[in-house]
Amino acid sequence: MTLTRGLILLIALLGGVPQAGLAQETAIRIGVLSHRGDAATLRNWGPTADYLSSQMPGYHFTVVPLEFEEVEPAVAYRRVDFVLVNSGMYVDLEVRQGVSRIATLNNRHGEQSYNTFGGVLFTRIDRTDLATIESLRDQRFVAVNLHSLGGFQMQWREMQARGLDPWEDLAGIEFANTHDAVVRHVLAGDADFGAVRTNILERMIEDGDLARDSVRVIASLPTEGFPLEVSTRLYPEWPFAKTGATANALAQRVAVALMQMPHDHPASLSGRHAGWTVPLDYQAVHALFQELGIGPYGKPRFTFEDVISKYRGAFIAGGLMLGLLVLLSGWIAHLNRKLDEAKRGIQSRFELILEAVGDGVSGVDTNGTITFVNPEMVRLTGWTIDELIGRSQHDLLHHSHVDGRPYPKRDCPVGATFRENRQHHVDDEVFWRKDGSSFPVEYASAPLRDREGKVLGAVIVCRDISARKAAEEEQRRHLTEMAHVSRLSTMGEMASQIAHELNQPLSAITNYAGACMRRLQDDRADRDSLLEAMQLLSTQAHRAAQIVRQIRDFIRKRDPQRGPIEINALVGQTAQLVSVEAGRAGVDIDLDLAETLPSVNGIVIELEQVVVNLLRNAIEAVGHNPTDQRRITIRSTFNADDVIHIEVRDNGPGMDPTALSEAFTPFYTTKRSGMGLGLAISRRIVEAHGGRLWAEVEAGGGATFHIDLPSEVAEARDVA
Amino acid sequence: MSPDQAVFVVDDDAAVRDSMRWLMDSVGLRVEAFDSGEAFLRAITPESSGCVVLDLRMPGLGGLDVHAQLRERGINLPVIVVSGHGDVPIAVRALKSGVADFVEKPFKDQELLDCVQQALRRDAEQSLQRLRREELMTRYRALTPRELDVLRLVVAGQANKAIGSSLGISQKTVETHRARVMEKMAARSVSELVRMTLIIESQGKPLPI
Repeated sequence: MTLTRGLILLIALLGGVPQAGLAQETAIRIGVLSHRGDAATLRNWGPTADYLSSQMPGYHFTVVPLEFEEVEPAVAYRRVDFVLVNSGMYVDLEVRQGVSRIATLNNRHGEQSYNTFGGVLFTRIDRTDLATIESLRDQRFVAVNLHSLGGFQMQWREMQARGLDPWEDLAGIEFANTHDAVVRHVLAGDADFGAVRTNILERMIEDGDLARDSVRVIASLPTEGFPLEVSTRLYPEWPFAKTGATANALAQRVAVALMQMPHDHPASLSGRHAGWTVPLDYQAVHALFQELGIGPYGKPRFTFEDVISKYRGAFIAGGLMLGLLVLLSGWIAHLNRKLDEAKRGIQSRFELILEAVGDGVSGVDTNGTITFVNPEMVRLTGWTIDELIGRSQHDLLHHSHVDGRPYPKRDCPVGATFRENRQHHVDDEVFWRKDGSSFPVEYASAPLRDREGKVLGAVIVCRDISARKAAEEEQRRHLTEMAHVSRLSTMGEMASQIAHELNQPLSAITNYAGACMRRLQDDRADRDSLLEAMQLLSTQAHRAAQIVRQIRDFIRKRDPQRGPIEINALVGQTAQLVSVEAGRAGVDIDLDLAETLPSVNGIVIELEQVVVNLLRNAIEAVGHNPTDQRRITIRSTFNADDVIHIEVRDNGPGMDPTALSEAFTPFYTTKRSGMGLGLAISRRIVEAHGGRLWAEVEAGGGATFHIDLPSEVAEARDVA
Repeated sequence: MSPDQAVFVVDDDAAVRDSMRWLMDSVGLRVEAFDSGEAFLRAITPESSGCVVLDLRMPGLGGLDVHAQLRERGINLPVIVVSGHGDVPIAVRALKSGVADFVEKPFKDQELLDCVQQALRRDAEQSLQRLRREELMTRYRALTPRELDVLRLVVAGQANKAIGSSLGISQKTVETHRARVMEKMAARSVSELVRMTLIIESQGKPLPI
């Protein structure tokens, strides 16, 4: 490798190679093994690159000639997108660099095309003594390159098969790097015999570079259907391969373009091949490598120089990395020093931090006397530092509960912190300001210990959570409002049902009364029939009264106060409430209630609304069934975890998975009327009660809505 | 009030049906009550006379559905729809579809009775017209094709001379045909003849010439 070429490669490896091609075109580089010299490579393969550029608009293909040693780094560092190398190198790259073949070359000899090739052992025509491989012992050997498949490795395999070790049993090996140079060495007598791939000798003769009858092939094998002289077994021709980083889509287009190249295309003619064929099986090459224990299958007898030479790129890169690492560690050491300085600064001036934190911080000794405070604490409480230090924190800031009840010092979590020597976290208390007002506070109180672990007092970090409490309150109010809106809308929908229901007895009453009056006016009144009509009338009046009572129950303004709720009673009342609607729709509602249930702590009208929503949905769902098959079941159960479970099951058509997953989304509705808020609000209400609301689709059709609510006992225990 | 007229009450509420019967009975009207539209449609025939009081909202067939099926079967009994909802769009739809009246619950008993009486009168008139038309149709069918030609042109206001020239017959022959038409139709004047043809047409069917 010349210095200039090495330099170019180095620049390429470091990512600075100038891109060939026009500005708007994507440059695609084909790395071609330059086994006969760069000029020949560019002459032979340039037209193929041009052909690909013309077939694939937007891409500009160029040929990058690569010497044997340059191939692998070029692939590894992604300086080429495709490679055209000998089959041996290909197999090596396939195993170690993940390249994959997309086409195999069709070579040409005269009018005949073939896609296999082999190796040739040859000598000067006058060396008649060299006729067999065995006769090569102790002769001087010139080959192309250690990595040349057709120019060394194939011949090596044949020698080894005949017990001839090229390194032990010959007078010497020299690598000339190009086939042409091998031929020159043999002709010049620098070596007794040489190795080149098939068709090299024929082409040199054709080109006038070699006199006919100046060389002779050693151990020429008769090979059926193969037009050239060959000393070794045959192997598949060079593959055109994509590198691991090249997109498959691009590779596919290139493969198609290559296959479509006519065998007599100028690009084929200049490369003296006959176009491309589907990629062949390179197993024969694998076998060669395995047999020789080289390539991806072992460590051949490379000299250190070989290794250096082969991995020069990697060595350079490695060296640079090492340099970078040294720089980095220097920088890290520098950072460390700076950190140390900062740490010392922090340690010496921790009050700066106390000043900077957004939370109030104070320290108390084991008597509860304030020993230090930060400015935020001053800002929060309204007391000055001097007024705080030395005073009892509890008496000053923590003396009463939010409702004004005195807060005994013995109950204070701060005192408990150093008595129990453990941290306390509180978020439902208030601190008092100097001006007598209070603010909701969240604070953590941790014991302060000396080196021996002896408790000196406590540190309190506190935060004004007025904003958070307000947000919670706002959310709570919003939910109530939503529930109210939804309730009004539910009422609106039910009003028309109820009105109709109320109209029935009223109409009947009017009719009966009218009938009685007319008979009386016409003097056609007999006592018995009048009495009968009056009784019927009275019955209808009672019926009307009953309905009115139900409406009143539903709309009665009740304080949304939390309190113990008997779930069974609630379910019963709710079922009664919707019975009007259910009756009209021909729906049977079955109650299957647990015998005894603990009460739930909550807001009656909210939970009632949840059950009303579920029942009304269910009534609608079973409306799809025949009139005699509309059934809704409400079950209540109670389990050992103190969870009360309510189930509203219908035998309607159920829900598809989309509807099931969307059911609880606000404004999602499959109905033509209604806002789609029912289930969303219901879920929020249940969750606000510490419970869960979910839906399941029954296997045999129908849907079940489940509500889990913690019992009052469970809730009390969880709070404590 | 013709004695074969009945008030057909269709309501799923037993108390409403029963009380209607009492009310109608108190003014001497006969009631036939049905608890569903389906039951009513099974019982009714084109020969039935009277009026129908239909509840708008019932399980199964609703009032408007029942009304539509009646009309499909060519039964033109006047229909009063009773609604407990009284929403305007439904009332408009009902009246547009040819419902005789629309009564909102709760109604005054007199209001309902007035509606029923009016509907029964209309039914009686319709029956009378039907009879009259049937009679006219009988007479009409007795006309010969040539007499029908003359009738058509007379009704169109043409003089005998013009009728003769357009039919290619003599004026005298026209006069003979014309006298036969008047006689067969029992019309005393051309204007009565015109009214008769209008009655025949009024049923929405074209003059069968």
